Amino acid sequence: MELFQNLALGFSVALTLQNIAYCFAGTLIGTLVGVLPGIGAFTTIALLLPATYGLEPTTALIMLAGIFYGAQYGCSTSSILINIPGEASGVITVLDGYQMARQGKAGEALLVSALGSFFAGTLATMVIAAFAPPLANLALKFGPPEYFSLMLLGLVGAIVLARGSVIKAMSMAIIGLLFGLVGTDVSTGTQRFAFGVVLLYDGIDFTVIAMGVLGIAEIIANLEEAEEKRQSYAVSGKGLGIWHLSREDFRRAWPAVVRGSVIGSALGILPGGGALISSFASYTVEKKISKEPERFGHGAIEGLAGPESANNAGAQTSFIPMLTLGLPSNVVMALMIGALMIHNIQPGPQVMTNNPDLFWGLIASMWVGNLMLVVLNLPLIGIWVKLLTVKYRLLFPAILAICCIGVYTVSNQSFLVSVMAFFGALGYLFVKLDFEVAPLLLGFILGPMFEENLRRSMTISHGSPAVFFTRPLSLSLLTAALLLLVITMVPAINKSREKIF
Amino acid sequence: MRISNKRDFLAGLVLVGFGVVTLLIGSNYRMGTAFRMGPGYFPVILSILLIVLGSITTGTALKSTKDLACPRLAWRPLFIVSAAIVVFGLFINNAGLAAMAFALVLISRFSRSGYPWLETVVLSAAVSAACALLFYYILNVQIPLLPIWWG
Repeated sequence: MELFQNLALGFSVALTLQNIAYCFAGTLIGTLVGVLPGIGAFTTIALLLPATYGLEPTTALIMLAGIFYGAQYGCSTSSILINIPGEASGVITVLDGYQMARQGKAGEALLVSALGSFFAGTLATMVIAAFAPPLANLALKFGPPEYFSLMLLGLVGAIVLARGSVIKAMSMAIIGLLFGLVGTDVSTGTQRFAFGVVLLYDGIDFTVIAMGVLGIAEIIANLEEAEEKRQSYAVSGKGLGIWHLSREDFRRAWPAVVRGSVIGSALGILPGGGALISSFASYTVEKKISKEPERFGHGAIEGLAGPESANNAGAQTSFIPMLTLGLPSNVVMALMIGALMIHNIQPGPQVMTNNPDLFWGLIASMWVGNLMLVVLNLPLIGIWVKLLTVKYRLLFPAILAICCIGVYTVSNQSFLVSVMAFFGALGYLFVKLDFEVAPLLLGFILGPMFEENLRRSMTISHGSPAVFFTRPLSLSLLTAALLLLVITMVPAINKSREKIF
Repeated sequence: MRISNKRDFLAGLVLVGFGVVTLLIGSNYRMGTAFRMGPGYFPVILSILLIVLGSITTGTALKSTKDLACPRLAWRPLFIVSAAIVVFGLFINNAGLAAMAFALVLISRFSRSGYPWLETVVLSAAVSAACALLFYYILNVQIPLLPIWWG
């Protein structure tokens, strides 16, 4: 079996002493930042990216990936114990996880989330190993029209899955695309939307936008809230000592874990999908099929186990479009592409054939990393709990400093630090007007590629948009995008969508 | 006529405004044809789409019966946090990380009233020292540590 040969190659790479050490470091740092509200995987990876220049590309990727899924894992700890998600994808975990903690079942909640995540990680690793090669083969047949249609599908995905009004989400994606155009137009050399500022000729680095509209905007919004309203149930240590699941809890939890892992693995593959969407979807499914939906929101173990597994699986399979198509489906994947480019590896379908050790090594390391997370973090819970008791009024200036230093190091331009302040204010305004910023960020990341592929397609077809509909692959991608949109517009589904979010 | 959904009404206007500005700027660039798109083609299409979507949002809000107030912005944290970042950006090259991390924390703590003074000063010093240690010494980040006149 080729699959097993490939995985064997992967493990031979992932299990070298150096790679194990960096995988360990990555998952540990990831858990730490995942626990701390305000500092996410994105900020951390952006900061550590320059530090990985000197490493082997495989080792660098293994560590950065570890930070990413480690953060997914860590965020469940803060969601369960203090009702504050450390990362965006934890907003679902709080619903039932925190309630369990209040009922003195914090230990069970943490254990279920750890074991569920590990199961999900194992499944997602296998999904990547099985689906990535055929997808990469398919991607080799992609021309500009297919790439255009695929990116459109990704954008539609992000729009459909965003909270609130579809029209508003669409507008955010378009604003993102427009920000993506800032700088020199690659085909003609024209400066667009640069206002004569030389430093903008290269475009805006997306770390600047992402840290602004996510990090800074969140700090401003948090400062507006009443002081220290979060309450830690962990401090009292209530229910933390229990490290076993009752037979009843186990019976309820395991089917949810399996379903969550499958949902997460599937949704993570979609461009625009990922951890957050997966946990939303899993929670909905669990609540729908449950015989006692009224238990949800009051500490239902299924409502914790499903989404926790789903977000971990989704985080991992979101590597698939990045590794096989060269398409980033979220901001973290866009950073990963940057990391590959630094080492002269062009992301895309050829990575698998040209750098098999990197590709399979990374996949195998994900499983190793997931195992480390379980073994390591359960004993470390006590330390994370201590960290969580740090007051926000002491924490936010430090987060601010980290964001500023991060932007400065990524770009080496002090001017861009001020640009980040602008996007922070803009992001805050969007939050207040109830706009979701995720589609904006995806639009921004895809913007330049989107325009480039549109232009090339139109040149191929001598100016006829029919090219997108006559090529079968492109047509099926567009049909999928249209279906997604239509489904969301159906009133019944739209209503339930509003209820969930 | 009374508008009940003021939030979405305003949101739509913001979108239209954004679209109009990008349309005005974008129309200065050469349009080209669909076959050979100029730099203006894509931005102009996007701007028009944005204006349409913004108008729909405003229009829907006018008909809506949902009572949503105009959001109130928290001006103090918005202004102070932005100012702290801009000051960091303006002086980091000349004043160095140690001083600017201190200043950043100091300024940002004004975003709320009632924080104790001593705590602010101690926190500023602690964050400054931690940043210097972590980023300059451990991670070897390319950032000046001390002011340029330091020698």
